[in-house]
Amino acid sequence: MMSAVDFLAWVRGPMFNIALIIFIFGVIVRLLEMLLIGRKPDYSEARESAFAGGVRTIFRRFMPADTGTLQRSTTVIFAGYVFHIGFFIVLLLFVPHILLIKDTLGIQWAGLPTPIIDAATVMTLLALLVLLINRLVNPILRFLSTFQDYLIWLLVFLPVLTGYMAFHHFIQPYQLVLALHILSVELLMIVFPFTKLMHTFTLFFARWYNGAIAGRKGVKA
Amino acid sequence: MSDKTIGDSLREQGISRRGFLKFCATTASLLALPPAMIPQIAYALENTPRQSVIWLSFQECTGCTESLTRSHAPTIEGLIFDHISLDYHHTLQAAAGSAAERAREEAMKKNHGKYLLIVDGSIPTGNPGYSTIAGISNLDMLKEVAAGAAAIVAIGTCAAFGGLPKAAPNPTGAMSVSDLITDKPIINVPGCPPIPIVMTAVIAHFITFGKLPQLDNLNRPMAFYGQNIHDRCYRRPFYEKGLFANTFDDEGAKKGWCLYKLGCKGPTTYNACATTKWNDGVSFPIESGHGCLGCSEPQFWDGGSFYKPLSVPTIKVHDVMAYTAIAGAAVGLTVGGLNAMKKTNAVKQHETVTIDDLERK
Amino acid sequence: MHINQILNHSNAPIAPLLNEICHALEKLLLYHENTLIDLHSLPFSPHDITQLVEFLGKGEVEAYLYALGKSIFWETNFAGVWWIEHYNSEESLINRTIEIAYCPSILQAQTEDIQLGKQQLQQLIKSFQ
Repeated sequence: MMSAVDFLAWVRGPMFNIALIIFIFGVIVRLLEMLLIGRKPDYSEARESAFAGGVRTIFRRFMPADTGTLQRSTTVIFAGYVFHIGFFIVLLLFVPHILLIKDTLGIQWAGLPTPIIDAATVMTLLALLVLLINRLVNPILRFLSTFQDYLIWLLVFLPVLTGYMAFHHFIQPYQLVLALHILSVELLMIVFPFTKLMHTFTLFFARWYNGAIAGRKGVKA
Repeated sequence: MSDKTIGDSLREQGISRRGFLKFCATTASLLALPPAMIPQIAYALENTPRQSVIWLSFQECTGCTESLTRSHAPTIEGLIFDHISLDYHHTLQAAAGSAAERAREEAMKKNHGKYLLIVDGSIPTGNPGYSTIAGISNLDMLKEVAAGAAAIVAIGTCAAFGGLPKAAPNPTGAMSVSDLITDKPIINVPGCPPIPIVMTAVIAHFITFGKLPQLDNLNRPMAFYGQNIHDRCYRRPFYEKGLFANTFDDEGAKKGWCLYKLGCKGPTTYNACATTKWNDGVSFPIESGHGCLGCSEPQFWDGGSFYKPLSVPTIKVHDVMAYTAIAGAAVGLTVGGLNAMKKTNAVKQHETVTIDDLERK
Repeated sequence: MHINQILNHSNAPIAPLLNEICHALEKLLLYHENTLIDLHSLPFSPHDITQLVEFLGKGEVEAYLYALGKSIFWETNFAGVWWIEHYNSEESLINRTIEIAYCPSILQAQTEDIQLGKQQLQQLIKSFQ
């Protein structure tokens, strides 16, 4: 059987390589494929700037569209925000994560003290649980949910959970729980380009297209 | 084994009961046993005869023996060593050549099944000629001596896990004691070298209780390897606060901030350095301003750079990333091009439908 | 130094240690049970130890034991809380503990030593007669 030390060496070496290759290759292929489709030329006279409309929409859609939507989907919107913000705090402001980014991309920034990261992790986990329960309880959401939705939920939940468990030494030896944490992230990286996780990038293009089309027509979308 | 007990020899040296209790209290502290165990230790040491010990050195640098003999005599560990019968240790013993080997054979015969075997160094399994003692290959000698041992203590990372000789590409086919001996209780006391007190405490525990102490998943005594360096590090609060040294001579380094960014392996290392310390309790590597190398863990030589943080992959990713990005762009552009061709063809083949065509049906 | 100043400036778990001492004092008052706290197993830097010594202070009693090297005992400002340092014959520190007791257990004469002393005294008396 593989020891915890071997396991950690594997996820920090060969397995990381595999996950990185699939992630980068997949994301680039899929983005190029989508972007190169392009759009039909619009021959109408522009009423207003498509560019301004696109940029405006990218940012405006960070806010809930209207009070009606907010009332109908309070849980999804609220828990969704907590999850996304918490996830990014944990991902981008925990010092060991920043060091990984520095080592791979060469850029770095200041991190946050661990108690704050710890609190953000708990918030993120709770928000994810709320979102799952909501998905299971709400009949419409449950009807619309596919296998992929549950898979992605799990694959996003696991890195946060194992990260929390690693930090608090819930599993001994530490090498094992650290290796599980890294492996869970690698699984996320591998499925990323081929699932709805691509919205991390595509949401900006989608908003841009919508905003630009509306903007050109002079619609304040 | 002589019949004289440790208690007897202490009394012969004129050591009072108070002194003996002080010795027991310190031993309990060494073994990380609760102070409530002191009477039990006192009883056991009072009544235990001297333990025969055979020490075999294989592919090693003598650093472990150095560490042990450099422990500041006369200390508690010194006292314990005074009260074992070290019957064979080819570096320390006065006898040489065939006399030395005879001493080993005699001790083995006399104390068969009862002696404690201590091994330092890894065992080459490639060519037996890589390391021999008195013309006997390390592997043969280990098997012969292990057969009659009550228990084996693998001292140092080489004996416990293979250590430096086993590091890639392992030219001698080095193996650890537990890779080769499976039918005896083995206790690993890794470290490069191990802390002297840890070595003697393990022997003390064996003498005191006649059995091995509680071990972890790598057969290391829990009392010393139960907690990791990071958890017991006095710099830990700086890690929590997000205060790190970025270089070995910046402001953070001078203020004694956490060394995680400089490659400290404290979080994945289980050892007693942070509490027991080195050089008679003076300090330990992190206290001296250098990150932990993780020397008490398996494969610490092959676990990536000593100076890169733990969260960083052990491989060089930049080339991989660049080539993958180029390949991804090439495939993406090809797929895009194919899609565009398909679209152009579709447009070309498009036929205008007239009212007549629709009505014809 | 004021306790808050110490707690704010120290990275060592001083507050939990003080709590442990407090509980041990309770145990001593209720059940006459001694408690030994091994300071070697706690992550205290020399600076932390100095601060702890300063905070606990020195009370009315100080004692020395000469057996296998020197040992120093002193009662802190808190009655029943004893600071104990064991040195070896090379005068280097081998163990540092805090004992919560009416009197540190090792300071009391030991039954075996008393028996031995009694025998010796009896023999001495016999030799006079």
